[in-house]
Amino acid sequence: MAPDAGQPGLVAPDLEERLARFAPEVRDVITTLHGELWQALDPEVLELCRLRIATLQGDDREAARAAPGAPVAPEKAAAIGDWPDSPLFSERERACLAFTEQFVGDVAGVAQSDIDALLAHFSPGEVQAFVSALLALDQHQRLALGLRTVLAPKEDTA
Amino acid sequence: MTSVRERRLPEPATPTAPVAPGLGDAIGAYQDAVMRLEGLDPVTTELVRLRCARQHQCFT
Repeated sequence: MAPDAGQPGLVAPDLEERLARFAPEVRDVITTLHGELWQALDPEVLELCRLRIATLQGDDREAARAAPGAPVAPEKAAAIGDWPDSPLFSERERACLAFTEQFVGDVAGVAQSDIDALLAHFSPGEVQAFVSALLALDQHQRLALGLRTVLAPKEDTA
Repeated sequence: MTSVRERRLPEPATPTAPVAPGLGDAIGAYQDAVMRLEGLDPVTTELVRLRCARQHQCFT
């Protein structure tokens, strides 16, 4: 079951707090957006992708937290970096995680084979929704990390 | 210059309802809200947008 729109904790807490101070109108639309994106696809798959984005970006805070209502078993979350070889991940999840890695690392380099791997498990409409959800997850983790790096006191980023 | 790529997702044989109808609108509302921010002047904002587009090889 997908998290409810407006449920606290869908957006990184420190990003939400900073936007509330500096750009409350953006905080409001991001909150709405994250309520929508969790409806786009299986929330467990999206949570796995969110965790993989966090590890790729070296965002320890985001990697350590869990999105509410999108449960992933702790041992699976811990194995996120080993998804290609770990037996904990299904082929469907592997296709999404492979796409996520390509998207985060070089979005212009997404190949037709990456898309076809998704189409083996999802309809074209679901693929479109997945990519849109991935865009928001990736962008807002980068935003949280960037603001944390630029605005936080030195001891906070150590 | 506009670059047009071939369609990479097959078109449905029959019209289908969007999978996540609110998601596209929510992304649009977010981008609109960001562009309406006034902390950065419009020229610098546009330069940053163009730089991001080039970085991601987005030429549309």
